[in-house]
Amino acid sequence: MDYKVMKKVLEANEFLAGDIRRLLAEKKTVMFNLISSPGSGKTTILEKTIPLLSSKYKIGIIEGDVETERDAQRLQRFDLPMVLINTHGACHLDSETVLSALQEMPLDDLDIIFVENVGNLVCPAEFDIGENGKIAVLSTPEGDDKPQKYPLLFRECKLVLLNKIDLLSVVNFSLSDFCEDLSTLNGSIPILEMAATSGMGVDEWLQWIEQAVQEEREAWLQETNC
Amino acid sequence: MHELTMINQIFGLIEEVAKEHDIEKVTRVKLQVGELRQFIPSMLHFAFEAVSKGTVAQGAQLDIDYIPIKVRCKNCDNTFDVKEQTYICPICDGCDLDIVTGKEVILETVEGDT
Repeated sequence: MDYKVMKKVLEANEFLAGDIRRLLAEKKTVMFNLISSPGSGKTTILEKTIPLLSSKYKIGIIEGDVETERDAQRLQRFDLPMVLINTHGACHLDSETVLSALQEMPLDDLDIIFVENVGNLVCPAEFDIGENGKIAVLSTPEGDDKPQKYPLLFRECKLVLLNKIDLLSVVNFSLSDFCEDLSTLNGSIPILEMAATSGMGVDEWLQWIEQAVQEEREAWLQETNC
Repeated sequence: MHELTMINQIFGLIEEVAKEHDIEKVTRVKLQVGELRQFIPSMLHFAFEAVSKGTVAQGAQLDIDYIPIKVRCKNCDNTFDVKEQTYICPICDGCDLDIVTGKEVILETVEGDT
């Protein structure tokens, strides 16, 4: 006997992601999902970003890690609302874990939430967590071929942060090949060059965040007016 | 090995379907998988076999339909298949595109004996 199912396998995850999006819109909180390989510099980027943004925005963090509290400990000194999700082997965050993390956060008092996803270029791109934008972080030592190898992430993200740009002269990374591949894959995607440890490119990143937050707020306002 | 993650999700659905229809033994499962998901066929089969052990679907045959990546140009409305990861409209060179197909992971049918 043949049973027709025709059910989306990720439907349950996408349903909860929709709930998260509605919750964030209601609370006027913008959530960014940082996705990269392990070691590309996500935590360092947050360490540089938080002190510069926190005079203007109230920030919260969801820290995803397979094991350990190490990244969370690095961000603890900023004394922000932060929830650590240890996935214990799972290679991505999903909307169920993110929703329960959000329920522990003072959303009425937060303007921006940064989610540091588990270091992985594949699965985090597949699981919608209700964010307002995915941000792909890539570091130059990883090589310029990553957009071609991981097209889903580089199609889905709103911004590419190219970190460790200060190492360009000593690593095998062709900036022109990288930009060309990316424009073939996702022509409208902005790329910001950054060296988070030295602070290079951080100002442009902050401007991008401000713009993205502004756009999201305008979109919410329009929806309210409709 | 993101195939294992997805197969684990699929098994949740298979077990729901089996329960709903009182299927005692699942003999065949059919999936639709978009090419943008980048699943390696042999890995999907390997993960399916591994996860199915001890379940109602142990020994079931797994059939997979691969769905090509199709996009629509927001500028000129042309719909085309993406080849060699080139997301540029061949008519107007536009790159603002909506993905029409290619991201599916769908459990199409479950076949079994009650």
